[in-house]
Amino acid sequence: MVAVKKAAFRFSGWLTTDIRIEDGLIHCRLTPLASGETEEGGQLEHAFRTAVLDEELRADIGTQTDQLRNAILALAFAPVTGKTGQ
Amino acid sequence: MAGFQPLERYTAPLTQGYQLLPVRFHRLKDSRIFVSNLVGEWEILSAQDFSSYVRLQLPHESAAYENLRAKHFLIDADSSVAYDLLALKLRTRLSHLRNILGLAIFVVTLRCEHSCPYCQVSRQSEDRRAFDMSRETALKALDLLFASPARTIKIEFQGGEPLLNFDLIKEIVAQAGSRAAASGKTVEFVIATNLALLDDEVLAFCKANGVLLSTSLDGPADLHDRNRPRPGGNSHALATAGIRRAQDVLGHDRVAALMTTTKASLARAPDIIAEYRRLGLQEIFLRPLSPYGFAIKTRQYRTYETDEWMSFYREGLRTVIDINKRGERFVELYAATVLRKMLTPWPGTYVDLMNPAGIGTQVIVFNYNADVYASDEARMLAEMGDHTFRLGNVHKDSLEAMLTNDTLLDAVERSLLESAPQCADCAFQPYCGADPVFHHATQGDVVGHKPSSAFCHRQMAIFEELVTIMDADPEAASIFRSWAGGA
Repeated sequence: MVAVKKAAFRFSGWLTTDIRIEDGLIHCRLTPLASGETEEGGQLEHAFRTAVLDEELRADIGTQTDQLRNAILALAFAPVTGKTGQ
Repeated sequence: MAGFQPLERYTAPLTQGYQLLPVRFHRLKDSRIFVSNLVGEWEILSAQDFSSYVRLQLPHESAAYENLRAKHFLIDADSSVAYDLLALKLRTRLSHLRNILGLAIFVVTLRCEHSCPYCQVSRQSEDRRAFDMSRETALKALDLLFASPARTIKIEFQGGEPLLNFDLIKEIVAQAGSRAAASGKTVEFVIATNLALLDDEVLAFCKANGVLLSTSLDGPADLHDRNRPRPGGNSHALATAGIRRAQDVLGHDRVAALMTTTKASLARAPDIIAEYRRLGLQEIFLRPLSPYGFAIKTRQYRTYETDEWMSFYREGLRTVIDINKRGERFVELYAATVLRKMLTPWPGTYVDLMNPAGIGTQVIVFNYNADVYASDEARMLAEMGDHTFRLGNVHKDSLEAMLTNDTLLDAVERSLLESAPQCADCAFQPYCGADPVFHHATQGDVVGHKPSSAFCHRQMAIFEELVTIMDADPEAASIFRSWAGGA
């Protein structure tokens, strides 16, 4: 659901997304903000689906790397001793 | 005794595989994937290589693997220094935070003899001296400025037309120079002027004090005069005469020009660049119109959409690249600013593209009326009646009180890209900036709604354009690297 919401946010400049859960499935109704051809709407749907998958991938990458990121940040902001060789 | 490992050590297959290091990704229009890391190093991968990479199945012997390991996108048994190198580069990238208030803008007058409809500062007509900064205000502002820890300070004189209060400029330069000498600081000066009032006295002063002149040049005469009307209709003639005169006295590297794009400019990118070259200028900053001041009142701001401006920018950038390919160095400054962040570990120098936001941290504005603002755009917003980013008054408030202003701290903290929706996951985050004043002005919120933000839309398009050019055109990539080193 988080991935769906994040994807919906990314597309909120072009469409509104109505999200509901029914029978364990997430249903999304996409409404373009500007009127357009059906083909353009199909492209938006494809892009939205890709965006949901990308958000899931980002979450997965985050799971793998967040601790490493925090360690690197801690190292970057650690006090510098000023001593040679340290 | 230390020595090299046997050759087999480097060619043997990995037995332990690799781990991902922090990475963000963005799908390019051609279905390839742009990836970037914490410090802005980047690669473009095929969809297949990207899929293999994130599933920890990228072949060890592949070129993609070697590039990703070298740029710290993955870590294996042979690359244990990645953590330290990433941390070091991150410190380098944020090193500008130790030189707070490195840029101070003194608005010495709001008077101006031009009538530019896109004027961002809501200038006042020439005879209204009530809009001049007083000597007392200037001295007090210098007291505050030199109390900051910044070791290097650039003082920029703006207006209106600052040369209408030239006597005060002379005094500020003298006072600042004395204080800098006494405190061991370095101070530089810039006058942002339309050059219409340039004379021998001003030039002699600039030469003696190392003052750089920055002016507006919107393009050929017909375009410039249309954009920048003044009595006599001779803004272009005065500006170009002033540029040549200043170049002769001060040197070509001491005179810079900026252009502002209006609807009339959009089809004229090559003409505008040609005019810059005709005048011996070696740089151009292809700027969009900003949403402040008279630009709003005269409805200039919404006269073109971001996509129209991007078409203009792309044409201009390609024109500049072709000039460089013919052997002449000519730099597009906005691209150079971004490329510095894309191709070097060094921090950016452009306030609008800083993260954390540069308002009130890297820049401070002392207005003619003694009010202090967090940025030049904040000052312009105030002239429109919105004083949200006013930090205080030089005669009433301490520097500490102004820099710990709740509104300022809130804007800087909330607009931090690492925590802003969509920005937090954006692969272009290392090159972008938080522009809380722009988002406050256009969307009513310092964080902004990035999916509908003109700033975000423009930045993403520029980032994509630059990486696409570098990937497809090795000669252009080499040109870009020369710009990045000099930005």
